[in-house]
Amino acid sequence: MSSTLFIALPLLFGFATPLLSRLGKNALAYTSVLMQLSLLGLALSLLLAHSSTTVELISIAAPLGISFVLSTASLLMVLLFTLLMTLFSLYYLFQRRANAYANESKFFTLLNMLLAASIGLVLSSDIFNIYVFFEIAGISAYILSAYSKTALALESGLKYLLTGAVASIFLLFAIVLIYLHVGSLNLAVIAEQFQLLPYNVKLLISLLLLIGFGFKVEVFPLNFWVTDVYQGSTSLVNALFSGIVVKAYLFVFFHILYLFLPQGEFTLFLLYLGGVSMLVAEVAGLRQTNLKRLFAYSSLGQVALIFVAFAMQNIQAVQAAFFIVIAHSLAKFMLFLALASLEKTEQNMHIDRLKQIDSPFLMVMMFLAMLSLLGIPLFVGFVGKFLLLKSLAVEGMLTLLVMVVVASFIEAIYYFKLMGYMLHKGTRSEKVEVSLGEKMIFVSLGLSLLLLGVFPMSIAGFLQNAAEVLLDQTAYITLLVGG
Amino acid sequence: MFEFLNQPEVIKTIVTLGAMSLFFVGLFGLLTRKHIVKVFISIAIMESAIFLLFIGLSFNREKVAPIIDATQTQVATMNDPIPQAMILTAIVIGMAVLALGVSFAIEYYKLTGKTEIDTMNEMRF
Amino acid sequence: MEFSLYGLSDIVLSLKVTALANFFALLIVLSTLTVLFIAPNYRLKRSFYLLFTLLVASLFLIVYAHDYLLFFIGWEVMSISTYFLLSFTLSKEALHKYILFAMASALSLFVAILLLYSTQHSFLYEDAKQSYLAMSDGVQQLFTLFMLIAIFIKLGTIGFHYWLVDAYEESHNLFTPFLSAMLSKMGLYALILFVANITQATYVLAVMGLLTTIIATFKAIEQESIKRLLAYSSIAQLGYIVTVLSVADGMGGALYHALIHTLVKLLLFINIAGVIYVTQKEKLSDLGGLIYKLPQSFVFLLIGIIVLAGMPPLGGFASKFMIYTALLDAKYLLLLAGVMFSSASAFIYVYKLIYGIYLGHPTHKNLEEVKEVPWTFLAPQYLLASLLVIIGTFPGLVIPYINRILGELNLTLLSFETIQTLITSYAQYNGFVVMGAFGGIFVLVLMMFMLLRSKAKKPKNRFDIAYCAEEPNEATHLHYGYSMGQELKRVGLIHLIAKNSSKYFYDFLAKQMQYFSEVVRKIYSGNLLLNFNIAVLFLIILLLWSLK
Repeated sequence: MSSTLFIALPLLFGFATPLLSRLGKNALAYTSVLMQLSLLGLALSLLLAHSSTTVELISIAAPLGISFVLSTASLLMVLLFTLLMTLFSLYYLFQRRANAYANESKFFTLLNMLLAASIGLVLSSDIFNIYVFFEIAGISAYILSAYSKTALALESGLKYLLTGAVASIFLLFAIVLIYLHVGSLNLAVIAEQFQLLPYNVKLLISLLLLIGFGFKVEVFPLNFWVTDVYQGSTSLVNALFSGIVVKAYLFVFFHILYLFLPQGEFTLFLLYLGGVSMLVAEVAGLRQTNLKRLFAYSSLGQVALIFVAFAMQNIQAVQAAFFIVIAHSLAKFMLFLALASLEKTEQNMHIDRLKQIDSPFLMVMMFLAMLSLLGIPLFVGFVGKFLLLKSLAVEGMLTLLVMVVVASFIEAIYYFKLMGYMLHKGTRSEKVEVSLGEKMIFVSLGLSLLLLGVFPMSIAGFLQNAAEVLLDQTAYITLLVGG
Repeated sequence: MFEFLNQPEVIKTIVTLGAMSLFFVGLFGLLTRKHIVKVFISIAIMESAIFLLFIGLSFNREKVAPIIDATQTQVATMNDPIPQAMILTAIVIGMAVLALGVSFAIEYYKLTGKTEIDTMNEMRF
Repeated sequence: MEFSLYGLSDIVLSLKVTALANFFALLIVLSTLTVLFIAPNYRLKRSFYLLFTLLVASLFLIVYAHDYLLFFIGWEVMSISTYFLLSFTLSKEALHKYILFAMASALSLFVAILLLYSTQHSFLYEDAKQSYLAMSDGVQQLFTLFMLIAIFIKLGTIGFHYWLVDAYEESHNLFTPFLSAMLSKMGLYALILFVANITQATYVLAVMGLLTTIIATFKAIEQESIKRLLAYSSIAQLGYIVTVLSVADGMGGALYHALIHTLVKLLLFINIAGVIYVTQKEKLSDLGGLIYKLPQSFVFLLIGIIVLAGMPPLGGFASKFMIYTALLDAKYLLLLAGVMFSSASAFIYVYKLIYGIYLGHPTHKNLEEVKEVPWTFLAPQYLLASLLVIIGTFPGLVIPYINRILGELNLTLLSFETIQTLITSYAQYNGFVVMGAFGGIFVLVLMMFMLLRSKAKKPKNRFDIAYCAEEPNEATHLHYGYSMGQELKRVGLIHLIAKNSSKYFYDFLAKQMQYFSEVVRKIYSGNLLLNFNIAVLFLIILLLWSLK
């Protein structure tokens, strides 16, 4: 039953925040850290307890009721999410900004809803539950995005909400069609019968799912909202958006794809869609001067890279995808937190302000994160990119290989432009204070980027395991439906 | 005179056609209207179309309501309750999202005085 | 030593000590030591030394790697640590230029090694040839293209040299010797591996090498900044090596010239660093007449330019000799003629170098108080210059070592009798005799000069110039060599060469890229209405496409 705790505990905590906030000034922040730590501990203990392909199946009121599957793959994502959330709570605790989030208890409610929904997305094995978590994650994200209630924040929240609503309509449409044709909502049952459906129905459902999830996984013609949302939201929230939310959507999209279409009917199409997304995002980001928006473009590019890796639909590439997921989550999380630390005085930093800021510590940390994002060796970003490109080369997809490399080059252009601004020689007027606690968080993130990059073998086996589990359709069906 | 309409095939055709036309009305609104409230209404129309489609296609006149009591114990003669439960949930979620959206729109209008979505461009890139 | 990586059995990495690796490792050690010798003269941050250590470590990784993945990792780490080392002094534009080219080089190397991996599933050098042969024709060409782009950028071959000159000019005086002597050698090392292990790509190398030597030589002639001049000279020298690698038996000459070039570039850049250290001037037109102030430095520069020009009796002649005979042996007479032409033209810029700094008449007054450079600058120069003299006297000295490398690469060995003689299939010469003859003549000339000089009239002040008809003032350029080489631009061909066409090309590329970005950015302008329409259009296209 332990895996339901991953959803129940944050929800419980989320709705208990009004009570907790009355306990004392920092009670909420401390209890939040405690709660996240316990979740992280739970995830770690599960990891250690089941060294092989762990599978934990929770069914509530089977066979029609809700069921959750905690496999190695979903455990990996849960581990990542809880880790990031723990660091986030710690950062919030250490940062101690006075009035940024006046209504703290609401903020924590939304955060925990977001976490619960993200974990729920990853664990659910029921397509309607996925829809519900999709919406919960969406709603909490819209509010978080518009939280500061400035015109910018409201605009980004509004845009996020509009696209999210349209996406959910398409997803609901797909679910309705699936239920009408299959008569079940269980992913395993649908997976079993999906192959038997007539071609046109299959196609329509796939397209609707692609459009529905496409908005959320930020593929090319559907990702226009992302930059606005990132620019309007605070950097703190952006750290969660790019670290957790997108990853949850990506995971569940490909989870469904692998279950429904194990033969990879649309592989080539999805691959090129990812490649084009990456190129377009990087090219569009080239002349960007607003930092948050720039990082949004870079997020689009990286997510497209993960999309390509997942779309390859073979074990090596999915393993690479997990590597990139980890690398990107850690690095972007770090970048946005650094931005949050820099932004204490002013929102929406222009690239020029990097010349003024006097904080060697944050600069070095941002360098680490950027180098990892660019896939420089010795950082974990390289491992993911290398494994993916290797798999592309082995499969003979040279066009895509060159596309990805060209996109990486364009990404390098603007990241090194940023670094050039940071290395600018001249007087620096703005001193940024970074507390010891914040430093600890940055250092631990930076070290993990380096350590995982130098010793990728420490997690490679686990990730490979996760990839095998994620790709194995028959095992999933046997588990849920029985032989 | 209109007895033929009671045939399940005819009902299903009518429901499908009606729901789809409603859906496209909503889609048309989404793609052409600029006023934020009209956009929300379009989204609501699209949602309702899907609700209608689902309920209409999964409902069977011959079967009874899925309530197990002393007189009715045969599950086979009952209507499938899942679509209705699903749609209820979806309606609640849809309402919540729309309400949230409208509240955002009002706040935004108070701050900037803008109601058209194509003029919402505070962010300069 | 072989080991696997990432817990994946299909990636085998290997480190191996080979004679070739040892040769380059020796050069690394030599460059590092000499450069560190002059470091105490500058106040440097601790992070500089940290990065420098990282750089040296990555260089060792590059040379001792025995598979292309480790090689690539070393290559990237080298590029990035160089970036941060350069960031201490470079302007933002030059720095950006450097890193873009470095990234382009690294990424194209990445593509190349992945193409190599795709056929035989191995990164090892031993399997490279087979992997290459297993590719289809188109992929082979693609592979060669990417590999050569990566190498050419590092070497600064003409067309890919856009980053190099600025980086050399603006880099820290401490770091420039290392940049020129060592980092470009890594490109050379990659080229040697490519030529020896995979394919020779004769025509590309021949054409690019020759163009590089000729164009870079003429570009060097017109430079006013000392470091820029030497940067172009570096490019030209590496051009000789690229050219000679295009012929079958060119490896010996290439290695020999690599050694000589490392030594001489260290010597020259350290010499220049010393001059800049004491005068604070970097332009030839600001200097002049320093021979009496810095006599020891003058002698070292003299040795340096004799080597650079490939004149007997010093080491430079030995390597040029080998290059010429290798080209002659392969019957590439046009190449030979081209190389000789640029080699002869190189006299102009080496003359300009020594004339501009040490001879002539100083324009600026404050040069009168300059003292000899500190001994920390002189000591490494003594070492390097004596090495060059020794190699000049005993040109056969290094042949056994080169032969060991050639044997390892399965190439024909060079003939070797005594350490005084250098033997090729066409000719041989005795370095000892040549050195003796030249030394004798030099001593004679020096004695005559000393005798005559005591009788020459001494000028009263800076403006007392016998051959100047007008009355000079402070604003007049007194240096005879001022803007020397500029007049060469009137020659049509040279004017064409000197037109900075690569600058125009890359600027054009950057501009087009920015326009393109400007257009693509319109999608993300935040107009939801437009974007919903795009999304639905996308859906419709997908539907039509999949239903057909």
